[in-house]
Amino acid sequence: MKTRIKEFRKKHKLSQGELADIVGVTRQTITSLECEKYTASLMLAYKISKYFNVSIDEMFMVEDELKKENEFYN
Amino acid sequence: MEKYKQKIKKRSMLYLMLFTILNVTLTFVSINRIPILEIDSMVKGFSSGLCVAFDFLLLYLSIRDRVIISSDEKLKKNYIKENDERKKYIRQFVGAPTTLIIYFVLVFATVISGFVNKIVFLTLIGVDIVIGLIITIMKCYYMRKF
Repeated sequence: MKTRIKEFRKKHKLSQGELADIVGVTRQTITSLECEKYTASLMLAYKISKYFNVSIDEMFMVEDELKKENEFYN
Repeated sequence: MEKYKQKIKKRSMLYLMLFTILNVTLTFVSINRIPILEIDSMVKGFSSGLCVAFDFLLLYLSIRDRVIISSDEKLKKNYIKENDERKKYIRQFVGAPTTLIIYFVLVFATVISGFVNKIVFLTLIGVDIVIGLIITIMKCYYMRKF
């Protein structure tokens, strides 16, 4: 899933390790999220969005993912 | 975090206890020659090697846990490492297909062993049935749980 974690992280001048410590995951998890290799759980998505003070919708491109899913079914 | 600290403390004690029990058993077995344990030297060597390796592993784990609880920073890092959701996901992802692969390899080995040795064949059938039962029970349990 596409995310804007990198963009917000850079804006807040945070390293991957620092963000990982804040939200309670390993640095590798943040890397995987930024590389779109792993989709965050609802709890982690909430924690990250809350830290950057944005909605989950803004941080994670849920709409794009839904569009892809709809295209698959139709 | 205090709860987790207690958990690690208990775990460390458990490792140390198992380490002691294993050491006492190994010493007892090596001092007293027990007739039932008079087995083939290769089997004996394998068993004692495995016990010694397990012994060292328990000691290492116990010391590692003691080091972890010595500082709050290390404790937090270890908590994150142990509870990282991506790692949990990977573990689940690895676990389920691996079990099935092992099971099918075992069934295949059972068929092959039938042409070679009847005792091995019957033993493997027993193992196949037990593993199959465990997989089915676990599946039923989690189907009801979630």
